[in-house]
Amino acid sequence: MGALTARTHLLEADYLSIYEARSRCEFKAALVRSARKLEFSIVSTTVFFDHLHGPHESIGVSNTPTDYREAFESTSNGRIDPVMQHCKTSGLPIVWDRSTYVHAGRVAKWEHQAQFGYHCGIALASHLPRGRHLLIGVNRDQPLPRNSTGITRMTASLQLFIAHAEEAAARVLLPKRPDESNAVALTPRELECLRWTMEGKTAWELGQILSIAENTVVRHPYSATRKFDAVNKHQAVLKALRLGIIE
Amino acid sequence: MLQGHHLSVLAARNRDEFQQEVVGFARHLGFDRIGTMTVVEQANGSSEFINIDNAPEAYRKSSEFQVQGQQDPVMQHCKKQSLPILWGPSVYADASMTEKWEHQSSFGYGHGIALAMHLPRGLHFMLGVNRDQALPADPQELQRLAAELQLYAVYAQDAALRIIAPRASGTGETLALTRRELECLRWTMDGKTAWELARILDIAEHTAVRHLYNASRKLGCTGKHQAVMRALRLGLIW
Repeated sequence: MGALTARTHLLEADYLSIYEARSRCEFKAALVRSARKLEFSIVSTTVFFDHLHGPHESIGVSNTPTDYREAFESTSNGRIDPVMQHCKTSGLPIVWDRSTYVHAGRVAKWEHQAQFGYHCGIALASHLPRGRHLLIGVNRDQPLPRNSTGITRMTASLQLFIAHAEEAAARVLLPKRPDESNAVALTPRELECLRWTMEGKTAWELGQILSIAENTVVRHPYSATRKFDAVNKHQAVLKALRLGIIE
Repeated sequence: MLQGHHLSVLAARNRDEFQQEVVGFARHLGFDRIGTMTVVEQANGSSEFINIDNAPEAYRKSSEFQVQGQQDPVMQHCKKQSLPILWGPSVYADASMTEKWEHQSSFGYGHGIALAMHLPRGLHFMLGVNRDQALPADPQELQRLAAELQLYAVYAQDAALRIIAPRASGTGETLALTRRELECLRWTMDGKTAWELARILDIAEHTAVRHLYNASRKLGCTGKHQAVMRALRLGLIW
């Protein structure tokens, strides 16, 4: 971390301020400032969080005009928008303009959004472990540069930007999970029993290993189970694993 | 619309073509040496490392090259972070590894930029460019290099996974576990029994048991609880 901070300081301040953002407000300010520097007036970032059962959650920050939001931020928008469709499956950036929508047969959608300043833009997504996806889009009403050097530089800056935003977005945008925010205090014995349970040992085997009575063994995982608000000892092991209490 | 290097790496069909592409890009960026490492976490808990680079043979054979992974401060950074690291002798001096730096710098690994992408399904991709000459002092120029590398990494990673780990890169085919099997593991993680699972998913109880059995077998585990733990480690469920 020491080396990282020292080295990152060499980069421009905007990247550092998104990386270190402590609140939604700071995050948004850094986002808008960086987009303006790239000469895009509208910017949005969304974190998607997949659930294996049930619909995904999404939460975002943007300086999108309110009337645009009312017109487009419905669930059907994502399905008909070719830029969203691209980002859903690909980790590669997409540089888009009217022709993107023409090719997809969605020119009406483009004409509608263009009224709000969404003529062209660059969008990209990071698909991360544990079902997280981060999407960034910058948009404007001015045409994109015609030369590929200009476009490559813009896209590259945005890609570097999203790398800096990954952690911060999860930190400031996603609500803290209740079971993770309050620490669970386990006794050393409870921990030991959970570790052996993780290895697949039964209560009887644990009793042999730890030279304690079987009913004591049953009691330890049981109290750990209660502390974790888990339904059984196996779920207690999983919760302890996820919280990094055991490895 | 992007510059040629990004799109041409996507067209690489095999490891040799991929290597030519990345070397060409590194030269264009002003670096003589480039290294890529693709890490594929396996269902049985081990990891496969695939290196494609243009390291000189003498460097590859040296003992310092072998120990690189465990101690090298640049590698250590990439293991945990997804930000690029811009490094030179001072990063090695801070880690008390000046000797290692002196050795590698004689092979053209004196200064560089490295970054890693940590992806779903237990996949990781690292990319580093290296050279004799120090990195530019001008922050804008430095930022341009880091940004270009970051952008290129996205394309190179896409190509590398397709060439090296086609099984792992296909969406939906998560280590060949079906969506239903994953769903059953996820509910088991929440402490649901097979009977409860059957009610929730509206399937027969023995079907739920079969899903869990198949998932456990594919993950090389003996029971459903062990399978849940392995699936968690691999990032298949969360």
